[in-house]
Amino acid sequence: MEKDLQDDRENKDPKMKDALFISNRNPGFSNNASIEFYAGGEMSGAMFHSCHAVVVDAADLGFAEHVLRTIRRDPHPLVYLKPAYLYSEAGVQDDFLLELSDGPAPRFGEGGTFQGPDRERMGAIARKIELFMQRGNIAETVFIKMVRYLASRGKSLEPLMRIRSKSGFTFPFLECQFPDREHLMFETLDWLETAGLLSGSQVDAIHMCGACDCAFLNFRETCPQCSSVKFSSEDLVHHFVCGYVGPESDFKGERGPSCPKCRKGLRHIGVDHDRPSVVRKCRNCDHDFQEPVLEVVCLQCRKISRPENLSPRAIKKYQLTALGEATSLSGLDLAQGTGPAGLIGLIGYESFASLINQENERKKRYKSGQNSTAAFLTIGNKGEMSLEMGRKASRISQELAKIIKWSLRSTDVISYRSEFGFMFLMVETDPTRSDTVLGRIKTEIEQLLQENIQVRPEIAIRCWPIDGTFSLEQTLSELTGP
Amino acid sequence: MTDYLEDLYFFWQSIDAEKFLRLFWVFLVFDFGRFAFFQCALVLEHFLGGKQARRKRALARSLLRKENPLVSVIAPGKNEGRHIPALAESIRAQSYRNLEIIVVDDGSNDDTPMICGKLLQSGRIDKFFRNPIRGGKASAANLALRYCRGKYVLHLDADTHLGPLAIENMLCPFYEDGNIGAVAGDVRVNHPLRDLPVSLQALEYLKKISLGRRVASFLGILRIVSGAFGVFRKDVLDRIGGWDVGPGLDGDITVKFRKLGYRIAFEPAAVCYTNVPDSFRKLAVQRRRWDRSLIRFRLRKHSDILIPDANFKWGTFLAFWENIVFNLVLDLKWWIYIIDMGFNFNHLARYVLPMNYALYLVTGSVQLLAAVLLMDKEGKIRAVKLAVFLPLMPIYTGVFLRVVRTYAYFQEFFFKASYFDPWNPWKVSSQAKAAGL
Repeated sequence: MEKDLQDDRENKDPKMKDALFISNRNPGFSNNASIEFYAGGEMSGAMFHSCHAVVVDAADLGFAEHVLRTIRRDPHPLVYLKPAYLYSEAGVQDDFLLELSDGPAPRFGEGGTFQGPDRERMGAIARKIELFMQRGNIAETVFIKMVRYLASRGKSLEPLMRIRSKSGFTFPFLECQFPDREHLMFETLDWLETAGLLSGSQVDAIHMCGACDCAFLNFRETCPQCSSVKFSSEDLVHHFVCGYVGPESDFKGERGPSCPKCRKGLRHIGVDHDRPSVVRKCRNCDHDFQEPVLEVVCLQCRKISRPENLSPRAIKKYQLTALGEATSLSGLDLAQGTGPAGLIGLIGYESFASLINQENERKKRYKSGQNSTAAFLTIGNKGEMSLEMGRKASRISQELAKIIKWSLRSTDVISYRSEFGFMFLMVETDPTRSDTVLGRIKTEIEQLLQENIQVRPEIAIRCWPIDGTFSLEQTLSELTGP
Repeated sequence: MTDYLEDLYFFWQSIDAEKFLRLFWVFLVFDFGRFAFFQCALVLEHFLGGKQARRKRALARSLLRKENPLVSVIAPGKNEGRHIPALAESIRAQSYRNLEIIVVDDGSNDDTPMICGKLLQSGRIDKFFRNPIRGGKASAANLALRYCRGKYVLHLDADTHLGPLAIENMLCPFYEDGNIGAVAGDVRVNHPLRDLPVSLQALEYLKKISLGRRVASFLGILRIVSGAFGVFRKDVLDRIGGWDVGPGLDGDITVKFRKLGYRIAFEPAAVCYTNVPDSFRKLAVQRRRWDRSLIRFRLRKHSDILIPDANFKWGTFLAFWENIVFNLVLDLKWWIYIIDMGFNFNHLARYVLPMNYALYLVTGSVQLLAAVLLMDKEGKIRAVKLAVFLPLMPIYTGVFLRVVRTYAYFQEFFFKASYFDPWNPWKVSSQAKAAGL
């Protein structure tokens, strides 16, 4: 592995450094051949391309967190998958940073480079990134980023207890993708699990405020009548011989406790009396009761609710499934082909490509008749929309597919790939005649997306005639661009 | 069979008055006298309860509505959760609205706490207290009493439900006579035609409660306000400290009210429907418990009523004697009668027994006819439907209940068996026994 990296550095790109050291202070040691130092200034994704790893100075934890969040949030796999290590003379105790990074880089300060296991691990990640890059242009949705991150690290996704998180738990990598929108983090995980890309096993359970999803809640006992928290509790006393039952204060006598009914003094508990239960008296409304009502106050939005109205959530740890591993290489359609979209009549990419080729060959052989049309519906700002859609993504995709299906004829064929969007084969339909129906599809899709999410979709529909010279691969590469 | 009937006919023809009295002295001297007195009193009560009584009732009703006092409805019990929703529903459907419902769970080990907790949350009952360790019926009722806020306390068995005007009618007597301390309602058997033991009890309740207590109230000697359905003045209950340890605590508390000089009334227009034992075995257990209380409370605990002193009251004295004579003494006289017949007229038993049966059947029929004539519409229908069980009543009351009663008296008199009845927890009974209560 060390040799691989050496090859990367010397043969493929001699400018590649072992590591980029990022600090907001003078670290007290200078450049060497394999390390580039960067201090201060705006960071851009491109600066991470020329190094195998990033070392973040964790003397200032806030700075370190900012750098790591910037890296993990970047849409480019060369950046968000970059091995990132923390450097601190005092050692790093922050679980969130440790989870977000690839761990501490303790030997780094000695002027050396990465050695032993660190270097091996870096090599493994680099090979994974290389594999992802070889698979061509796949839309880096948050789902793909998550599965690729897990695939590159070969580890499970474990929840981290964190007071700064509204739910009390966080998944650092995902949290970076949804700043200030924590609920999307759980929705994304739910979607990934439903799609079969991750398998979850419960490790904890939380209850969240029904209004704001905050898990920081105050449970308090209140009077069932007036909801006051001011009430007193007293033991009930049952005097066996006369059957009198009342609060302990009823039994106060001048010469020790005595029964208010028969005036006999109380002797020993269990012999002539017992304390069968407790009774409470509200100091606000004088109501007598035994069971106070449990109320829950959300410490964030201050909403008061009953425990049964809280939203329960299972906190799970997740493993990448075999399907997830494959999806990290191929894109999402592998998962969706067997998912809901598949059920409503979309066909897989391979079948679609085969049908297009078949139609193309037919036109090449039989010149007469109308051309068929290959149409492509792409969404420009898919990444941004994916973030917005969260758990609704699957449902919205289904709605999109339905709109398209209903607008086309039963002889038309539809397929989908996440990196391209929807692809249509409109048989015996010239591109000039397909404009109307494709325009309607575009309008309805725009309307659907605007109703469901706040981001305006950038939808483009382009058509090509299948006239015997059409090439699907060439068209797709044109569509996705360099 | 024909020969036997002919013999019976000739025997009946040949018997003279002296022999008739000798052979049927128990019926003629005791039961017919009691029956005739009862019927006369019933007719008198009916005719006296005419226009003037209706005017008095109307005035009482308007006073009640004007004051509109809070009434605390208490329902103590163990493992009665399944009945509570229907009870709460029938209370909420009452014409009288100013009510608070307090349910006490006395150590239930079924889903009663869950059911009552839900009723409390939904506001269908106002208070719910639970003692996880059973303390007995009296302690549960006293716990409810401790937290009552009403001017009147209505004690209900949890397995009852009420007619829609029951509580309003029940409260009226308090506004007719300021000296009334407690009012007993008419307790009728729920689903009276369900099975034989239930039907026989339904007939018995009709006779003993619907008509019997009506007459006793008219005569001022009513001695029991049924625990299933009775309303009490809260101030008097507080004064006497609520219920004492049972069994038979409803009769006991009525005596305590009477001792303080309060009148006890029966309100026939306040009707509740209760469940009764559905097998003879369960019925025998229940009746043994009730019958033992006669010895324990009347002859032991409250024997001072029989002794004339400064607190002597004729009504209470007569109520006591009525109870003792017609239950204990007349029970004994039956065994004497059987011995008498066995020794002296053994050869006539085949004629005397059917004759006795016929006599009691006729009196029972007349009583049922009185019920049909004097009761409300539901009572009339009930009486007519139950008429088919009349032929069994002489055996039910004359044999079954009598055997059970005699056995209960014997057990209590000689062994104080009521203290060992699991109906009360031993920790309670042992203390009551040691204190002689």
